[in-house]
Amino acid sequence: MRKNRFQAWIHLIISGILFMSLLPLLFMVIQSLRAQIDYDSSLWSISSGMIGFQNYSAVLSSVYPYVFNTFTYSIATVAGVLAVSTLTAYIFARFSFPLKQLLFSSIIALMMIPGILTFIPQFLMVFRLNLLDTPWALILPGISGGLIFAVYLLRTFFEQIAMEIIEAARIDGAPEWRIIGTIVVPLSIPTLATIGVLNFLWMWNAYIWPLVTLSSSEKWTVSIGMAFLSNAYGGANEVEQYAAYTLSSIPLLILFIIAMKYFLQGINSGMLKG
Amino acid sequence: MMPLVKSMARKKYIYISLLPAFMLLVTFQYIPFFNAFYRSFFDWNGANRAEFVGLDNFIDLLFRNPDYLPSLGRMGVIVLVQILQGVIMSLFLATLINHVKSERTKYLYRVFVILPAVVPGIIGTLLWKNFYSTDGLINQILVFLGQAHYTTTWLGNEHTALLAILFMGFPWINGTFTLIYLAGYIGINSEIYDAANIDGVNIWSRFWKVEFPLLLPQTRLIVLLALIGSIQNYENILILTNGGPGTSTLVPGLMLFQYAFSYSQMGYACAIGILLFMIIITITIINQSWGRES
Repeated sequence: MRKNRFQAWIHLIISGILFMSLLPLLFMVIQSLRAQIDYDSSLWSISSGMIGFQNYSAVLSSVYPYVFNTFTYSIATVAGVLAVSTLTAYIFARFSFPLKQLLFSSIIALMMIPGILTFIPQFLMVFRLNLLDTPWALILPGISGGLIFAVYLLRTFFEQIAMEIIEAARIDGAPEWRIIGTIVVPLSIPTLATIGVLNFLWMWNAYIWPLVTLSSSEKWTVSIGMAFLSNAYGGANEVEQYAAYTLSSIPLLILFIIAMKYFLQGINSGMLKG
Repeated sequence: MMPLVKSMARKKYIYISLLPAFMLLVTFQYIPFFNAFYRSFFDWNGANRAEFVGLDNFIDLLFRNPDYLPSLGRMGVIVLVQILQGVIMSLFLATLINHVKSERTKYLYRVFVILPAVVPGIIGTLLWKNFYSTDGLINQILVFLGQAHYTTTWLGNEHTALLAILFMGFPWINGTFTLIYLAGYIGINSEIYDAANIDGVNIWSRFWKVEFPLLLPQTRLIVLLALIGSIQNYENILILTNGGPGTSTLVPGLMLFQYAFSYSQMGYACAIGILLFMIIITITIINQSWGRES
């Protein structure tokens, strides 16, 4: 009896906290469905009805390019990170060669470098390479950053794959790349998915870096776009802004639904990156 | 030496395959890292004009610049508050969720905990910027609670701007931190609970004497992450107040940004970055040595 009372309280408090946590998002979605006149008059009235779809169709054409861009950049970055890190981690895990430990340690050491230190020099590097205002300004540094943690994770994982399986394949005469493709990669899918989600999220959340490297508005990412919309509209048409925000959240929501498990893992390991 | 070189030559395919990674890392990680140190000794506009000034950037920051030291203090306040928010709220929520009996409900709660991560971070910031506006949610709630005299332009008032920044994100639930604590709880051996129950310990003291100490590694990790994160993060401030009104919300990270992109003083900005790096490295080293003791 007392246990049930206790449980009831726990559920109540948890739900309360989670509700307050999600309140801004609920607010965003609800307001996006109202008319601006209603919004201006009060936070509650819906005298003009829920004209949500008008708001959404009004902003769809401005939001879509941002979403498309961000999606393209993030897919490219994820592909780059996965391809290069798999290759690199495999080499460190399965071969021995001079300077191996030194090279690997120098990759891991990069984990200690905080972003704020390298921010300006990275920007200037991109500038010197004439990559400013191109997608490569996001993709290449993005891959380089994602590589560090990915190589670390994958090498640890690869080292654990039983040597016998790989030796058996080698004896059967399979070329190395075949081994990687048909044995190693399928076994690593959870780790690869986690890395993928992590880097995908990074690109969708990045604001300052894209802000300073992309000047053409047609190349902008979702985060720049949303900040721009909120400035451009000024204090007007907030309901359309909310519709824009909601629209921009949909891609990540879809990813979330598809890859819930890896999402949970990805967020966890993302912060462990330090 | 020669045997080494010969051995490397034989394995040249390995080194070639390592090239993609290292080319990217050298270009976008190693060179920028060393460049940050090198350039901090220059008065440099990022392009053509560079003049070696030795330690002058650092001396200026620490002794002559009227904004830097106060901004460092403000950063300290923000860091402390965010650590407290992160640890307390995540631990509280994780503890509650851990005590839920049904596994299915637990899973559901975990989903809702990270659901906010689905929304790009900037949208959360923009929403809060809106909440703080003159007829935004915060003021409306105050009016609703009969406290209309407290309403103000939260972000436009130099006395309240920093408070607004600190309060932002209420109830300060960090999905990642909560999950870290939940994972920690899973790792606690259930035999310990049995032992505690036999001794007739009540829930409150059981938490402090058993659970909290066992979660110390997680707490240390979260403190470290929150610390390093809040030292470097100025995106919220950039969007909400851009350091203002005046300099009431200015922090070193934002100063770095402004000196680089508004004043084109790249060398000076690098110097700010170096100083922040020193702070972070010191904290990391302290954390490592504390870790070894326990």
